[in-house]
Amino acid sequence: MTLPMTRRLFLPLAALCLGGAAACVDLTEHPITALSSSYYSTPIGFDLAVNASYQPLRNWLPLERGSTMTVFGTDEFTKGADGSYKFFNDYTAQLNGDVDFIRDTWFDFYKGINTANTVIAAAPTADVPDATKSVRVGEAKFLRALYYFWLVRTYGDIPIYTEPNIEPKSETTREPVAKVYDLIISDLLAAEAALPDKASQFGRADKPAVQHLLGEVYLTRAGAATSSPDFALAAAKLSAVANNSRFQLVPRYRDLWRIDNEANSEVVFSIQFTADPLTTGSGNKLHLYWTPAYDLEPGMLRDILNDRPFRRWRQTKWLLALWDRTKDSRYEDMHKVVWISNNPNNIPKDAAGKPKYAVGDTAVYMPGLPTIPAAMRTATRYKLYGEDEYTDAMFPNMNKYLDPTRTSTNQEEGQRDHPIFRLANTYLMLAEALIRDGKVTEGLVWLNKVRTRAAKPGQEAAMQVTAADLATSKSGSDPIEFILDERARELTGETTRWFDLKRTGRLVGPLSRVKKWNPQGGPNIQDFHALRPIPNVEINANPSGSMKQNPGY
Amino acid sequence: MKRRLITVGLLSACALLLPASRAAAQGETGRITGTITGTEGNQPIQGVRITLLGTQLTVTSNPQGRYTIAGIAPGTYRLRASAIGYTPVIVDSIPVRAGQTANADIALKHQTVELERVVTVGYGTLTKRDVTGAIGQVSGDQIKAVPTTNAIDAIKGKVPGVDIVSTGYRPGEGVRVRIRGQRSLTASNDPLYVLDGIPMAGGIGDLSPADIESIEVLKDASATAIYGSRGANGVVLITSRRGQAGNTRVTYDTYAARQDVSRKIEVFDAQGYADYKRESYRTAGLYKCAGVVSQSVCPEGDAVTFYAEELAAMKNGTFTDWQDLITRQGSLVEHRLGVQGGNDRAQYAVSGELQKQIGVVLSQGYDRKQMRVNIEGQAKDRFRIGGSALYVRSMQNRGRDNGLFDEAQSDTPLSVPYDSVGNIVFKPTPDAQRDNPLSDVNNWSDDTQRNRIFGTLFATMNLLPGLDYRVNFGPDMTFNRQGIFIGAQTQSKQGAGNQSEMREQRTFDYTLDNLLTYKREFGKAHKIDATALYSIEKNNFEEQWARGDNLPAESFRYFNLGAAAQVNGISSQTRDWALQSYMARLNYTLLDRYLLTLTTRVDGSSRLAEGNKYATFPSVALGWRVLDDATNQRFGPLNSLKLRGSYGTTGNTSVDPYQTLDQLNRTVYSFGGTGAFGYAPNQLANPDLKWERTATFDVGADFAVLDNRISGTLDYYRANTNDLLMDRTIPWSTGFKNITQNIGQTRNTGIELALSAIALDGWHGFRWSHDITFSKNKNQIVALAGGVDSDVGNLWFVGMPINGGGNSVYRDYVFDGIWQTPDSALAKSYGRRPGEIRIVDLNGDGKFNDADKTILGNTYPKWSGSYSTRVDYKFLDFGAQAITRQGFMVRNDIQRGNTLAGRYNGVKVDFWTPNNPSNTAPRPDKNTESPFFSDARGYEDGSFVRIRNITLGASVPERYLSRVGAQSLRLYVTAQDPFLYTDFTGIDPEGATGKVIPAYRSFLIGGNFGF
Repeated sequence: MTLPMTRRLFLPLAALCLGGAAACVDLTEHPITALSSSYYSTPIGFDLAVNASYQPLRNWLPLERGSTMTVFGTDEFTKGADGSYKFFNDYTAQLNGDVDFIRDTWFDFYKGINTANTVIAAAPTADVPDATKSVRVGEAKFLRALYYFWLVRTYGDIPIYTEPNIEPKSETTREPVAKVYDLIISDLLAAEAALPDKASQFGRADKPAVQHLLGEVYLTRAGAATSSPDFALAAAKLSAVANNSRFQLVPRYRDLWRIDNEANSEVVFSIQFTADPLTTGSGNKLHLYWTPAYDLEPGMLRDILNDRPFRRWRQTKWLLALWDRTKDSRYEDMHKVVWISNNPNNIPKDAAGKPKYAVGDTAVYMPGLPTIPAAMRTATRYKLYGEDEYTDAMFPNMNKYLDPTRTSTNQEEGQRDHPIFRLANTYLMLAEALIRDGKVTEGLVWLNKVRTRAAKPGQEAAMQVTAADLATSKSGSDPIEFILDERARELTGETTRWFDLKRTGRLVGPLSRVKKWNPQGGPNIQDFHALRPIPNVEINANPSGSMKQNPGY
Repeated sequence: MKRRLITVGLLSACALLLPASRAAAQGETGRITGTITGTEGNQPIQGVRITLLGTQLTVTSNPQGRYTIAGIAPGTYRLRASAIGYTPVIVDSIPVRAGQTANADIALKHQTVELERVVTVGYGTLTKRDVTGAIGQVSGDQIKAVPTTNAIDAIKGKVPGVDIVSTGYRPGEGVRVRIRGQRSLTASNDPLYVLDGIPMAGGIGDLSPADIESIEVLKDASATAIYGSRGANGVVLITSRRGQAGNTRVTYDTYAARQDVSRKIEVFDAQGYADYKRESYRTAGLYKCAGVVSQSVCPEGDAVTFYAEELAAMKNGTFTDWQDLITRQGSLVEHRLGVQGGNDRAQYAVSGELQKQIGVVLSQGYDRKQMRVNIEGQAKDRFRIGGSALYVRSMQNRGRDNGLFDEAQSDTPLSVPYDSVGNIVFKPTPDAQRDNPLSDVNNWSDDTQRNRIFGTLFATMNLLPGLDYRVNFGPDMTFNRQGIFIGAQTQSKQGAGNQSEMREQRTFDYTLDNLLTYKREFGKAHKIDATALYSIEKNNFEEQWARGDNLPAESFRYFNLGAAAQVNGISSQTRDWALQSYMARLNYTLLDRYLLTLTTRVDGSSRLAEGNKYATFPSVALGWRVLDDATNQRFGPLNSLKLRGSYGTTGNTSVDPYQTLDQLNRTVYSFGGTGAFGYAPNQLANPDLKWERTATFDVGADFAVLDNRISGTLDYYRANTNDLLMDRTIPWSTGFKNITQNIGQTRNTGIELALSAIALDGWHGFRWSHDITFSKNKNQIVALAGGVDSDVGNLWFVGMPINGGGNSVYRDYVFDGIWQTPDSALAKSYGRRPGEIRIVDLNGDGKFNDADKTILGNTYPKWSGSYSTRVDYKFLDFGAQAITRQGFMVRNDIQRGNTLAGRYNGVKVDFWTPNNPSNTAPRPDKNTESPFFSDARGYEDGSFVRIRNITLGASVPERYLSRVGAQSLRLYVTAQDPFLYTDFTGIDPEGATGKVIPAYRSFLIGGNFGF
């Protein structure tokens, strides 16, 4: 019995063991299509971390998120017909820490900061030549400073991280604004020293980009003060850019916005996009938001050329009246006011039943008159809009971002670069720094350069302003008022207005321009609106209560 | 069935070995022989197990119902005959004399109680009387009675504690199964499906309901603990049809059904739409007659309000019901041919099936073809091998899917679908977001082709009396291919460009089990049944995807991505996980009365952190057979009573692989037009990730009363889940949003009752039975991360049910009617106007903000139940089933999404106007994209009673069939889901709560033929 039993048991036991051996399963995880942080010390990995540090740039201003938080609810723009974020304009209670824009902006920049911190921390051990390394660290510091700069202006006191996070934290604390500025400035000074005058690739940070940003940082730190050492510091950095022979104002304002002219001589730093869907990500979507509902007009249908009509924000009356259109070309250069018929099916018919015009003829025209005279209307076959007839859905189309290169009507991903540091802005900030520092004559030189370029042919002299003009603008006697007006004329819709108003003390308070000129937001805006709410998700993730909401929210 | 045969074979082997030698020693022996027949009709019954009580002798009856037990020592014996579906019979006092043959013919009666059935438990079978765990069983016949493409859908309402909810009504989909509620916040809550002992990595959806012999649902820890890490959500064991020794049997099953939309959404008709649109323009101050906003109707107001197309439609009286245009009468047809047979050494079953469903919505359909082979045989005396293979190929066409129904409900009825020559008008109006849904039907496809190969191989070897070794190997391969094509003439493309995508997914999974089982009786008092297991499972997943836009010819559909003018995306990935397990189980029976089951399973998972990969899941169960009908005990009206109790733990590791590692994600940027890809930190390492564990306590009773006319099962359970795998939110300023950790605790408590009653049993030829199930489950969160009481962002609150995993807890504003004109001043203080939705200012602070949101309800039913009845009279049978879920909330997304902005059509409501102070729906307003607080209007009680199934069948008596060589023939008509009783105002409170593919009812006629 013993022997056969052993034999009988042998086979299955062998199979068991065999099974066991074959299956002595390795339970260690070896991901193939994923990477972990040890990769950053390789030459390629280090470079990829730098590239990744740039990506958050695309996630804010070129999307509805960033433009809502910088364009909307200012003196320039108020709400159009469509969209779900009207409370950013109206400053009502729905603007709170639960809003996804508030939340995602916070996260994206902190994620960018963590990535930049990873670059900086990986540098000492990365297997990369020292020269490259110092440039890349300079780029990372520039980006870190830029992200902190956007955060500190938006949220006030904020947590500071200068090291990458490698384990979960459950407590964070808010550091005072001044401390954030110290970090920003020290990062930018380091970047200025490390970066070349011209980057190896268009779109990478280089010295002029750092200097432009540093100028704006100093100017912002000075705030609404009447005197500050920061004015001189700002002027020094900005004049370095202004006097850099690499950059020139583009001769005609309208050429700035040609889609084939994105790398023009005026671009100091721009957020990069491409025409290739594989490398453009979510794309530049700014083309969507200023377009009115032209497709509901007679003789029209939606097409690529006229863009997709999101009608998120429309010009305030104040903005439309801002340009002296007889002398200043900029209103005309930046607005589309004529729509050419592209739809034979809904062209209005005359009494005889014949179409009033054909495809290819004008269908809609906004001549910019306060009111259309009756005689003009009867004499015109197409539809006319007087300024008194503009609605939330139909108004002149700010054309800076129109993107006719999209491949289908509804495609949201645009390919335009978004120039966030433009030479004209450098000039205007330089003029402001000098003028507010008491060097009015020097400042006017730069201001007038911008105005000269904007002049209609033959009106260059008439466009020049003097110290007297500064003190007698319609908006007030403080030169800041004139400068803000000029910035609105030059930089309309360039995703900087909310911060401009804030730093000059014109967002809230007695001098609030929103109160004066934004009909819906004006009645509601209060002092606490100078800061956005801290995301509730951040507050709730700190169980000890160390994160406090900004007052008022 | 297969396992029972094995058991029988083994017992026969034992019988041969042991008593035979004893009998030989005692000199001459006698025999017992006889025929087993059914009490109804005297037909012979094959496969009946006849046991000579007090000995090891057991035999089975042959196809003629004959049996012989030889080698019996002289004496007086008791004989027990049992078979699935029949009440066991004990024959007393059979005298056996040396050299003689005693006769014992036995008539078996169809079983009226369920206690004697053989049930499949994990890694084995048990007779139901020996089961100590909470197990629900559904037979193949019950499954076959429900015409559906999904086997799990067929057991809806049949097992208490198993909540099966339709997740949608598109052909070829989909139910959500929750056994005893939901326990996990982030890990899967789906049960484990096991086919013939092999876990099905690709799900059960591909399996034909007709190929199923029985489905067992393991509910408590004692039953599921042998699946350890995977048993926390319950286990569904599927036993497939196997061949049987005996005559070859050919079966042909077919049915054809017509399917009709059960409910449409009533949108504004032409007149209603015109009124609503005018009102929206009035509210915005745009509808002017003679220069002033007017409540009357005038041509100049209409000219501003309506598109030229709409004015023309009004003038010509040409209106369109778009929902009518995109729906149709659907159909479902099935053919299945099966052949099974074999002899006492080898058995086989082969089947092929075709199933085709044409959806009730245009462009949707489902087409499935499958074949299955099942073979097993006795290779040597002690060696048995077998295997099965299932091949399924299916094609699901979804078209524009739910969007199509949305389109049809949003399009203006004041427009026409066809032009004067009958061509489809792509844009019935110029609205930039709308198009003709018929154009989407033609130009939008989303097709999923699925190929699945699932095989099982096993070998068993009898090593010693009672000791068996078994090896199982089960590969499961799924190939999914999804092709999407969106042409220019679609809502998405609005006339320009096209898009095509191809996604290819391959999953390969295999399980290898090594099993030792030992069954032995020690004297009359002790019986053991022990199992030991070593098992591994490995899983690999691969995926590729590419998208190209603007193909030169739309006829390429998604098959020529290389021709795309623009590559819009491309990706591929692979993932692996593995599981290694050891398990031991002991069933011990004392005095045939006291039952004990001990189980321990050790599981190691690759998906958990180093050092935490292994965990042990023990369980213990006790049973006491207080009264046992099989031994003719009774107490008053009680025929049988068994009490059960169990306690044990199970686990859950169903998190994605690689959660323990830190990970980077790819970023996209560019410099000067050149792509600059990058990698950014995206996930923190989580070196502490471990198993989520559920400890379940269960007590239950199985009973039968009144001569077994009423039988039932009652269970109470409490399941505590600890170390909940949960995405804990961490401060976002760290650059990370959350981390999957083991925190938190949930609890499920509930009772389950199943009752069967035979009202009439042979009264004038009538047999009438009833089945009732009732379950009540209470789900709650006990603790959350960081010791907090609420996590508003995730809608997790201590004491409330779990939000997530397909279930919802609703927190929103409380609807309080419409602001009326007399309340203008109060409305103004809230920034609202008359005609707008009014909500309750809960905290009374004079403002409407987030603090005024409150928990309104959740999707968990307070209780659910079912009732089925069946009547048999001679050759006729009639059956009906009703199911109900009571006391749960659904969100009516059709109401919530009603924009009332004068742009799109929407569900018909009695809206407010200055002259019609409605208190239910707000005033249309062209200037508001959707009404303020419109979400607050969408919450409704979803309670319903559904008549699930009514069937009338007729079987042709065998005596007529035998003349034409047939064995059986049954014809039947069925109404599936014919009636729904609910207060819910949307389409269906289960699977169609929004603008989605509607529910349908089916009427079918079918036949089962046997040769």
